[in-house]
Amino acid sequence: MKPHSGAWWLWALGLATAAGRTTNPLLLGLILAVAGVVVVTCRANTPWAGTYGVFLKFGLLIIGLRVVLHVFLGGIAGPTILFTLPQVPLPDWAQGIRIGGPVSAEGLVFALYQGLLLATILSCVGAANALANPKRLLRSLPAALYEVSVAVVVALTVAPQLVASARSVRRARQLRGDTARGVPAIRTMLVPVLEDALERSLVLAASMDSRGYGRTAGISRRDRTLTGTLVLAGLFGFCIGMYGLLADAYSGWPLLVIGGVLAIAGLKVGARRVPRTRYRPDRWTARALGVASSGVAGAVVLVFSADPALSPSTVPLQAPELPIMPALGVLLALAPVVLVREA
Amino acid sequence: MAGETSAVVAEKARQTVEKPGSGWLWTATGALLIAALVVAGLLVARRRRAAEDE
Repeated sequence: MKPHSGAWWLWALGLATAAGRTTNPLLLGLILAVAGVVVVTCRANTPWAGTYGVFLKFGLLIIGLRVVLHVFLGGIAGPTILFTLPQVPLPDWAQGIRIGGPVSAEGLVFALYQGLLLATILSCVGAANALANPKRLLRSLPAALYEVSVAVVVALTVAPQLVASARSVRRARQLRGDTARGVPAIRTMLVPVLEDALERSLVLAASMDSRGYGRTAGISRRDRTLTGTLVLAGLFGFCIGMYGLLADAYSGWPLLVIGGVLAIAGLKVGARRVPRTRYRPDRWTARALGVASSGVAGAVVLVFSADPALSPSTVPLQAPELPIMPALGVLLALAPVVLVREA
Repeated sequence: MAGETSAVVAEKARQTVEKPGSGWLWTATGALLIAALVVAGLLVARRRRAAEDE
């Protein structure tokens, strides 16, 4: 039996949170490697199983963009100048902005670290998309979220559907003997892939609509307002609290707790008024809890770690060191390899 | 520290930056760990692909 889809999302979000706490390329590389090993070991044979690879390629694109932006627009300066680009003269009111000019090794390394951080967070989302079944996740959504569930599901399934569409279009092209690669291949695949993904999303939305999702008839205005206010205020508080927590380890806790309590209250109130039954519901088994907690444990270790190696110095340039405790925390996220193993 | 001269502070900073030996060891350990995980992942992926093709 496969673990709850929510467990995979919690595991991946835990890893993404851990990645958000560091710019150390060794730790970020470790997070990418751990996520990759878990994906190849635990993925089911589904059309969206290749999502992780697609997100890794997007990550490479992000790193490249970040470095190119740094080279042309500048940022962190350092004493080790690698080369100097011709500088575009700008008017006085544009002081602090430069186009071109000297490019330092320190700034380039800083841009690489920042790009790698973004790419790692994105790849963690890719890992969740590859491992979690989006349709089963929809069935586990709390009843109070049914009104927004169409939007949530379309948002959550767009990446897996794009990957599945790209895979089927590529196979169809290969069967027709079309062996074009690179930019010409992308040009011929783009429209069918987008059209197919949009069609799948619309079919999903229509099937959800026909099953009563987003139904508001028969519910008093007062109930709807109360639930909506509680859930929205809760999620808003949760988001701000999470931001505070990521920006500074402790200041976000009060808002996070208040937001969580409000969101749970909203979900409880909403669940009371939407009686629904589920056929063979996914259960939070010990294995699912183990998967989720292994990812969350990594995040907790990194959030509370004050190891200076989490942010290696770029001015002066230093080789990054592997901080022991945070690395062990990240390695905990390998637990699904033992807990969930696809034959 | 308030009483320290800038030369003492600079020397301490230099010693912190230039920790001999141990820094490179941990860098190499991290790189090896990542390489081992990548190789393990590739081997598992190849085995699964072979099993799916059969």
